[in-house]
Amino acid sequence: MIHVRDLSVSYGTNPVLQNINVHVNAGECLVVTGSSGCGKSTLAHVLTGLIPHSIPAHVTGSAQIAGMDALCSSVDTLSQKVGIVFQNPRTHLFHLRVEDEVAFGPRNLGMDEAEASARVDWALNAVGLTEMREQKPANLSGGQIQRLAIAAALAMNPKVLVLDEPTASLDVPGTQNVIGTLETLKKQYGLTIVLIEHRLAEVRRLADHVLVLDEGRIAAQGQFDEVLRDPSTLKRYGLRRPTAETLTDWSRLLAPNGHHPEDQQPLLDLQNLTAGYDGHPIIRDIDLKIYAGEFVALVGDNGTGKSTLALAAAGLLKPIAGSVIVNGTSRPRPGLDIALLFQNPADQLFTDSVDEEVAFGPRNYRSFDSEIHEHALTSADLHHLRARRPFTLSIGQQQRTALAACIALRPALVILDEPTLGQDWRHLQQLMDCLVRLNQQGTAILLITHDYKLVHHYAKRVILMEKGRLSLDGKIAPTAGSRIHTEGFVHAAS
Amino acid sequence: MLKHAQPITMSVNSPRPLVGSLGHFSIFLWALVMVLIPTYTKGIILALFTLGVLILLYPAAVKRLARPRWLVIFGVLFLVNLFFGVSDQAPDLTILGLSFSSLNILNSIQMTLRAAVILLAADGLSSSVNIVEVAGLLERSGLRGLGFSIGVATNLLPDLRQSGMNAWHSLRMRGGFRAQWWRGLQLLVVTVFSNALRHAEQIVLAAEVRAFRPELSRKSPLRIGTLDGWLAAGLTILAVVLTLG
Repeated sequence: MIHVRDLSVSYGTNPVLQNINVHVNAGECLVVTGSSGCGKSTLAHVLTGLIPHSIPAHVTGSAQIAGMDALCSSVDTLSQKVGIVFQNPRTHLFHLRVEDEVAFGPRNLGMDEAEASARVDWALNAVGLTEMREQKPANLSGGQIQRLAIAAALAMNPKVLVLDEPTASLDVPGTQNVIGTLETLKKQYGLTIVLIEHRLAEVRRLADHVLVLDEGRIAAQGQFDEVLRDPSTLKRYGLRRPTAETLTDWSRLLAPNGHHPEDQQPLLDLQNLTAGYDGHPIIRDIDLKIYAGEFVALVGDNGTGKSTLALAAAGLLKPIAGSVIVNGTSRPRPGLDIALLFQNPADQLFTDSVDEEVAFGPRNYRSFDSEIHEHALTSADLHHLRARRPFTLSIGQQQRTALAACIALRPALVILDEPTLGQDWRHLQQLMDCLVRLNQQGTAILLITHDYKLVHHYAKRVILMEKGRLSLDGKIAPTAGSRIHTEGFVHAAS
Repeated sequence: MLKHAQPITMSVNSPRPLVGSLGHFSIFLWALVMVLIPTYTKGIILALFTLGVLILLYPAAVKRLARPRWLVIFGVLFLVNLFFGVSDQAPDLTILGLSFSSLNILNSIQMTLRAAVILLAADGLSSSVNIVEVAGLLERSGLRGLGFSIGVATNLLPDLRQSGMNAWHSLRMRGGFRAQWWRGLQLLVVTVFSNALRHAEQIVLAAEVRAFRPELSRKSPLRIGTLDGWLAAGLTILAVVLTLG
């Protein structure tokens, strides 16, 4: 079904893919993995014809897909053989109703309404969204949006489906929904799937083969379990070990903590906090104390109010009721007492160099101190990048730059809102190493994440949110260790 | 009373509604003609008549417009026209010790009624007809690709808003608006703008892989009601007779 031979792609003089050879049979699933910037998305763009037709690049070699030459066929011709779901499907929706979204492709192919309607019915049924056909896409959950994007691609009746990190922003139920849907498509409809993923455990049950890319070259290739069984491969390319079991329920993993330092004054004290937007509460009656030097994870499914809690705790969202108290006396001063790091570093970088970015906050507050500045750069491992423009850095480096810019103001607590999204394991490890160093120096950390392994490995305390309320405050239960498979942690840096 | 928020139905087997997109759009256009063409006393009488019809057709829209914020806006509009109206007529009426021009009073009433009718008609249309259908109607008037553009804008705005809010919060946390507020503002605008461009690029690629070409794009389907033709013809005649008669 897919036959790529000696494929090389370069943007100008910059090679992105070199001598790639891939063979995938009909009905198989190929997982493509590797660190950020290794060429995974470029390969997906070649398979869909976007490169070289829409994205200019120099391409050599050949790419045959479903009997068509991907390098010569036009994008709209290929679109009837290859569907693609991009990383953030929410930004790729064009319509106000689910069924119109799915019908978009068939209508572009010139089908009459009856034919388009039949395609829509089939595609929505295949992903289990028939009941939602008249909903607004904006009202769907993350997992449903991802399934809608899959349905929209399926409506073109492709033989091959390419998905770019489909589970990156999803919680556990959302991930399971999407993977379940892909399993059905593969088994029931014989769809060939190319899956770009960092989260290997989640896609294990779907995968037949794996292709590991490193700096545009094939680093490893073969049967999924066979290739990823080798610890040296995992270590060398900064991959996570795909574990056998995917966990489903946070409450199964947590045990009561029971030893909060009652005699110590909390750094952050949320008292009966209710907060939300336009007068509608998202979180209710939150009572939470965080102490200096703690490393706390805040977990829970999408839409439970974790980000709202973070905004309120950082002093960026006015509570509807209750109070946010820092060090027993005052309301938080955003950035100075509590810093909040958002998921997308592009929203948080404003200046022309890493150096300037880190100095930006202290200069604005007229508190610049070269020693603290150097310390922030060192903590985030940015010394060698200090003269670089932030937007020329990798996502992991950008995330660390945004973090350094926050810690240059010496906040007592740093909140990170899902820093794992879209990050490969190697970059994530570097970010977490940076956080551990900060934590060891006394900064409290509140980490918002869906990532079981990360929580287990780093957090000393775990808070579970459900439906806008805190439902559990504890730590990872000792018995949970075997289920999370901590032996799967392979430090890229080690 | 007309049913609200009826979704367009693509399935060929679905029954046709009584009043479809064309019918609702005809009512909207009729309401506009009825309040924009006639002036002074006739304008007020026709505006009141139109308001009455719209209240019967779209009672839910009336509830939405009966909120204090809208009532304040109507009040302000009335007072502005009353005191700063464009009439050259000298004051010929005294109410509570204040002198007014009777033309300005008529003008104020008419302007306020116009605003109420236009808002009510727009609310009635938007709650009865999917925006895709409105785009479909405009596409049929020669504005190609408009449905796509409206859909993109509607779906993209929440994302851009979130991105803008995050940038705003980040700048605020780092004192970006304290020492150099003007530069802070510039940085915010540049960040939001560059994020929007990045989104736009992704949208173009996502549309291309689903075979979208603006010049060949299909118009969004319209929900045609059984009474639409009669309604459009009747309202046109009524508008002509009442406004020009």
